[in-house]
Amino acid sequence: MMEHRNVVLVVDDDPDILDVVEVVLELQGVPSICASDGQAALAALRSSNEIGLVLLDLMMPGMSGSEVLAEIKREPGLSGVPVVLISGNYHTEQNVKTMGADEHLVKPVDVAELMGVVSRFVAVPGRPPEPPATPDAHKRH
Amino acid sequence: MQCWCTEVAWYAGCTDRDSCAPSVDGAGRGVARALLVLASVSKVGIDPSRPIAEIVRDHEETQIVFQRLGLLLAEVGDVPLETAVAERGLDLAQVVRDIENAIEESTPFAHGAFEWDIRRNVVRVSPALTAVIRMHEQSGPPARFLAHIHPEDRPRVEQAFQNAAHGLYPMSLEYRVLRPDGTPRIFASRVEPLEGEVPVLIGMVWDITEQHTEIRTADAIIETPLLRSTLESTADGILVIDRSGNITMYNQRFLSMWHIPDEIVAKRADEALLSYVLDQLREPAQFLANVHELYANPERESFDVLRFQDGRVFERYSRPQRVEFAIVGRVWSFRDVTERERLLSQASFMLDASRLLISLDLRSALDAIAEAAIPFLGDACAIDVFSDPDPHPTVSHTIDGLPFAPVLPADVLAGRSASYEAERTSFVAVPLIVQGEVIGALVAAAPLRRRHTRAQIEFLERLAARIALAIENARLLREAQDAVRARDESLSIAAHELRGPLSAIQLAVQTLQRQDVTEAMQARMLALLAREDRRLARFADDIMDITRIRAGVLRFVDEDVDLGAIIREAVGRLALEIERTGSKVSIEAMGPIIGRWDPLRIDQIVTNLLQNALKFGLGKPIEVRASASAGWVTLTVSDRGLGVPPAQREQIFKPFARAVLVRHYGGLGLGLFIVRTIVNRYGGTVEVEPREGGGSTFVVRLAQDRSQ
Repeated sequence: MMEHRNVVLVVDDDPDILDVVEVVLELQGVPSICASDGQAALAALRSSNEIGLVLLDLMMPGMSGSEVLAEIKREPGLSGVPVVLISGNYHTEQNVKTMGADEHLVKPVDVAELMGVVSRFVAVPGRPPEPPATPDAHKRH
Repeated sequence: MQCWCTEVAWYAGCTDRDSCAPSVDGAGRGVARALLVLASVSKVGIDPSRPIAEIVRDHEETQIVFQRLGLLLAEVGDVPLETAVAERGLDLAQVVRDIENAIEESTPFAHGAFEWDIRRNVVRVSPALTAVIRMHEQSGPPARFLAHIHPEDRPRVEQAFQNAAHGLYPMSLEYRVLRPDGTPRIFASRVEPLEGEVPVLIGMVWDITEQHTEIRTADAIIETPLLRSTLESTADGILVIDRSGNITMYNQRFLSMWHIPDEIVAKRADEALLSYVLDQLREPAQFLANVHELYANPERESFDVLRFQDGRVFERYSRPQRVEFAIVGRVWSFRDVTERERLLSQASFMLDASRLLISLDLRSALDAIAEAAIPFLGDACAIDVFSDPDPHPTVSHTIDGLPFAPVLPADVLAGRSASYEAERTSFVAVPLIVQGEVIGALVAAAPLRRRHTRAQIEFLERLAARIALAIENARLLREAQDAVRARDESLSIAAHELRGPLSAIQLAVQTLQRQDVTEAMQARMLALLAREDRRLARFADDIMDITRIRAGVLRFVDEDVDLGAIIREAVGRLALEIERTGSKVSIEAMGPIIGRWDPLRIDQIVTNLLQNALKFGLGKPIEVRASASAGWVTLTVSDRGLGVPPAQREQIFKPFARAVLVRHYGGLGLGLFIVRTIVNRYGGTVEVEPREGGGSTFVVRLAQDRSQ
């Protein structure tokens, strides 16, 4: 967890996903920034030093999620920011980690699952910090 | 009354031979012979009241012969001689005289007999035989008697007797015998194992010297007009050779079958003929060996199949020619079964080819067929499938392994079989046709001297039909497999596509369930749910449309429609999406643009094209234009987005097509397929062109009124 970085950057081309995730986070007291494509996401990352987590959709037109992730990892100023990949497919643990992401969520995601992952990386008011991910934390699939 | 069916009985006037036991041969004659001896012996006294068998046993001379007659004696042996004669109402002396005369006149009666006790290895010879040969010995080891046989024939005779003794089977053979003064006589012998007492062989001997000479020199005597016409009417080619190897008879069919020129036949010599025919055969050595073996064993019959170098096939029968008992020559009969063999092997080949063509590996099947076809079609065979990009024939085989890539004549490309000659070679080419289209060709080549027959061309055509069918089936199978694969991919994509909406809906519903949700949030979530609901509904509609399109039941209700109005409505409906993407949409529709269409379907065209532009437009401006002229309406939707690569410009209109990698996009790609289907239904066209400066322009052309 990074101190003083408590904003979540949500990146997805689907406007309704951005909409609902913003509301879910807001209800949990977590501030968020929305970006509907890779370029906007990188711009937001570069211009803010408060982003403590990126929720990144894999399937996007233009710049794909994996391209965005690669770019993030390439830039020294950004590479430290944790990234959680959200996709519709089951990737293996190995795959996700190879790509450089810290965690992986498979749609459809429910609130509990989402918040469980988010609270590992940013502070969620009223919720004790989750312990760091163990090897079988990603036990689901 | 018992009819003792013997030569004697016959000579005695018995005419009922047909109902008697079938041993009218040496047995019957032996009785007659024996009785002749008896007659001479009777001068010293026979008691006619005694049974014949007893009388026979008392007289050594007759014993040998009567042993052979064991069976017959069992029938009549118990009857006293006088009774036997009396029953017939005959005079014994007269009977005997008649027999004597008959024997004098008739040559078939054995001239002598011998008996070989194999176990003790002793031969006993009848007095008559010693008289004929003019030898003195009456019994002794076999070698003593074999010494009288002509040295050239002796090994063969020795071998034959050994075989007969070993296997105890009957046999007949001929050989020359030299009298002590050197005169040769020709003998025919018939040897049989003795019934009951083994191992003993009984032999009957005939002196056929005169007969032999007569037959060889007297063609005129042998051949009658009836015989000649019979020979000329048979289906077989017939050749008759005498014991010395000279040709005694043949028919025209024989000459024509073997292509024998008159001068060879005129020589009348077996050897000349033999070497002439040997050249034509595939295996002359084998043939020659057979012939020699048969000459060495004149009594043997044989059947075999002759294969010629030029592909002909004959069946050959060979049997000894006998006059009465003596073998006087050999008859060869030949039947041309080439056609039958050809049809059989063709049928067998066609069956194999059909089986091969069922396999999924078509190339290997064609390869195997081309190779196997060579014996039927010539020296080379090639099969070319035009869709195969390689300019060489798809498969080819030649008898000498050299490449074979014939140029196809125009006739074949036009769908007709062609046969032609070039460079001392005869070619036959047959097209492979599927539903009227020429998809390939089958070509065979043979040396000019074996040019292709009509039958071969028909055979090729039948083969080509099967091959074309197999190629078409393979293509259909591939298409079906591709379609299934595409559909399976789409199903998984569809399932994937649903995750987005489900995610949003799930999170929204969970949010709405919270106690602390504000009214503003509620409103947002409810609006979201409504949007997702519409999205899913449209998704479901698209799927339904696809299904209906495939089933051919998409409904169209035509009315007068203003395209401009529809465009404006569609743009209005998509306002939210347009705003989100940031793509400004401009409309240019000059005046009312009226057409006779189903408004819902036209709306689908416009909406799908717009959504496509919004999705791929990268937020840049989108232009929609519509115009009409000369009965046609043109609608264009331009974006400045990613553009469509040239290779994909047809693909994107196919169902489940995705112009860009799955990694970047979800979506089923049904929208454009639906657009094309509707456009096609109205007899119009839809295409995508690249836009100068980047992006794509979709152009739709529709007739204003299809019925016009």
